[in-house]
Amino acid sequence: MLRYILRRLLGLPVVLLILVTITFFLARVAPGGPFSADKNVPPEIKANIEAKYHLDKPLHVQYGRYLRDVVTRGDLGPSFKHKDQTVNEIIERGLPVSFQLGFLAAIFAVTFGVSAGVIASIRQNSWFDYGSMSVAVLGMTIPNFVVGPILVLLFARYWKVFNVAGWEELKDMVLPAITLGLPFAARIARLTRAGMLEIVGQDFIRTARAKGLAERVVIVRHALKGGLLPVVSFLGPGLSYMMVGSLVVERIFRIPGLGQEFIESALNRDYTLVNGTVLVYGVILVVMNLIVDVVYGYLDPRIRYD
Amino acid sequence: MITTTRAASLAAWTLAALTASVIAIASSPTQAPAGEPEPRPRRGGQEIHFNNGAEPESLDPHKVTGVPEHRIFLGILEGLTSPDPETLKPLPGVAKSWEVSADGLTYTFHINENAKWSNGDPVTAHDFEWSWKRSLSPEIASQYAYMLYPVKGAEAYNTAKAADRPARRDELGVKAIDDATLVVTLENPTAYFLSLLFHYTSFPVHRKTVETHGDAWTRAENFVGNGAYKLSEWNRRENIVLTPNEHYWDAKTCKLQRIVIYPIDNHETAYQKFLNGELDWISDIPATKIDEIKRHPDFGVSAYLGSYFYRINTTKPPLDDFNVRLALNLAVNRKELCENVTKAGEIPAEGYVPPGIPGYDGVSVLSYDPVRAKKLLADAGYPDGKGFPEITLLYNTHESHKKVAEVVQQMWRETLGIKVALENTEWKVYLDRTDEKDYWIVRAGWIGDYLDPMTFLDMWVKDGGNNNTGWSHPRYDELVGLAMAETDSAKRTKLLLELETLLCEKGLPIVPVYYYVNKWMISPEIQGVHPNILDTHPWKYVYVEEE
Repeated sequence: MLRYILRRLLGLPVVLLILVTITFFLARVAPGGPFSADKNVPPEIKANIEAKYHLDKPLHVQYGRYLRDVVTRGDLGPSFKHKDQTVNEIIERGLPVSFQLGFLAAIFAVTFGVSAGVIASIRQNSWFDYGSMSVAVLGMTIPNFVVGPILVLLFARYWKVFNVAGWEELKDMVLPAITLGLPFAARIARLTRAGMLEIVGQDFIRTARAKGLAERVVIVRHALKGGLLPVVSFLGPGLSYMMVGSLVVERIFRIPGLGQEFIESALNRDYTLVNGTVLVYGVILVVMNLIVDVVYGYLDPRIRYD
Repeated sequence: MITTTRAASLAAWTLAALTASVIAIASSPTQAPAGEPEPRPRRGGQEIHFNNGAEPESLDPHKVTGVPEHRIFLGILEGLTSPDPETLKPLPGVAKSWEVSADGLTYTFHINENAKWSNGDPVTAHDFEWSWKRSLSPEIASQYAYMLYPVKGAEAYNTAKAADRPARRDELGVKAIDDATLVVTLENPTAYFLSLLFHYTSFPVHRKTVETHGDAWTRAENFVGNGAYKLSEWNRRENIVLTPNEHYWDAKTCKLQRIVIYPIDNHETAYQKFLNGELDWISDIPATKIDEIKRHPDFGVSAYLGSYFYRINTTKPPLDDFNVRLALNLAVNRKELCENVTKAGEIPAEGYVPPGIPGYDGVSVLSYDPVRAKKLLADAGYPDGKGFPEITLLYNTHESHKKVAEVVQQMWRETLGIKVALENTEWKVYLDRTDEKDYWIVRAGWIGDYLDPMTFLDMWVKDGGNNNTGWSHPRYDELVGLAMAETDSAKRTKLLLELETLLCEKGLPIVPVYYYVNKWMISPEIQGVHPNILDTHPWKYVYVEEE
């Protein structure tokens, strides 16, 4: 197992190098630059600005310089748009916020999804089963830029329980976490239900019941571990998506996370910030997938990594 | 089993509640509030929550270009002059008085001895000399440095090669005689020079702070300003908090104790927050809700120093033909467009310079005339549009630009019989294509930098950096030079009128569409905010009326 993890970790730099290289050149190929604006400046000034950010050097020199700074000093460079901040600082500020939001969304998704799925599987074909699974289909198909505003309308404008948007009080986290977590809760509910139904039909569950164990014990102690396997494999991409994929939700609720920075950096052609955010997302995705693979091996005795 | 039952009933309840509320919303009367809007909760106290619309790029006045930054500087920094909140007339700022030489070329400013930085240091003439040299330095590479070009030697220094820079820097026409006296020499007598001094490019920065902290001097923990308010907090992408600067020379005027400035760029979100009482003042509104918002008593609208127009690429036949360009202009029914499409009170633009600049009436010649437009196009060789190539109207992707473009497209088709395709691209691509003249007709907007028609007119000189149409006229270039040098204000106004007339009657590299307006919503208890054409509202005059 340890060897497997090490091997995967050794591959990480290669993946990231490819990612950085592609991002670096793609961003430069896009039309427009970080300093093009609707009011043009004299060419001499434009040259001075570009010299200040080393944009006057040939592309391969810029690339070499960037790579050197990142590898040797972990320095992702200055932001072109936010003129008094470095990319490192922006990421250090935005990432914890995105993590916080993603974490809350994940808790919501797992708690709601697993309980609904388990109940639905126990009471298969009951009204609860049909009801919750229909809601789950809705939850998966309605995009969060629709769910978000509906929640705002209900809970902020009509019942005035929460603020419309912002990230200042604890309660400001509730609506964004639900909006972000809802499609995942729905997926998890369906996966849990399917997984549980498969497991409870198996012999060892019948044996457990035959021993006279309470239904609660049968479900929690024996069925759940196997029944949740499909959920675990979904959680890898799911969790990393919740951690990094909150772009839309961050915009709807005005949350100062990394997702907003990511979108705007691309629109602003803020090259260094584009590279920096993509790099961070890359690391998160790779690491999350690794963690899931490891957990999966632990849960499913049939899988062995060597 | 008990737990599962409870969970099941909880889930059922949630589902039922959700369904019920969606039905309630669908049938609620909010879509058409027939009578009174819902009352907004009052905050109370001298505190105000304002939406600024964007996160500032920086709070270094020599490095930014935007309106959102400007609104914050109106609290935390102050120039030699300060605008009257109603008329925008230059009032004393850091300078308590000034003299102008007879030839209009030398200004002597006397610094107010009570002017202090937020750390208690006195503001001196030396601060201004150092700051202006910084603002114009090629190393800072300010995109707005041209605002100071009226100062003698400013352009030469700003664009100097590395070797010449020290010499050019010393030749700059700004000199501190002593702590209290600043002498400024100009290239040309510049009628609007005093109003340039309340633009942030000319604002002072605290030398010791800048030298100690470098780029990081603008952070809240380092910032030293000289405005009525100080920067207490800068929570990136959340808000900026200003509190009174007890060292400010006119601190007795300031009533607000706390100003919270938000960077919400989604107008819909800001609007909802305003209705909920979370914001007291929003600087823009969601255009799609204009019909609903227009009925709200807290909504306001006023003229703004901005022009919305289309650039025409005059290097591409048949658009190189003046008669074709005039036909395109006369076929646009601007009044109908403003009444039925933009709807917020925009002013139909029958000239190019927006109305409202003191002492300048502008021209108004491009009124809707479909008959003449048809005839002009026929004379140009395209009767009823026959033989006219299919051209494209380009705009940056935005719902409101799309609406205007669709209507103009239709007007051209119905009046002139020509086919115009619409194309939209993302902002930076749009900028690139405008710059490279890779378009037929392209949307444009121009917001004046200072209160003078020149801010709209000098861009059309031959090969001007913001011309981008390929159009030029020798007489036009000559007139710009003459107007720059003219000291007599009546003669100068005449020259400016001649410029605009030439642009709109003989040149027409543009199709003016409308003049912008400011649109805002503000709580009725907030006082001291006066609509003006620059949308400039110094925070020191703003206060909350106590109950």
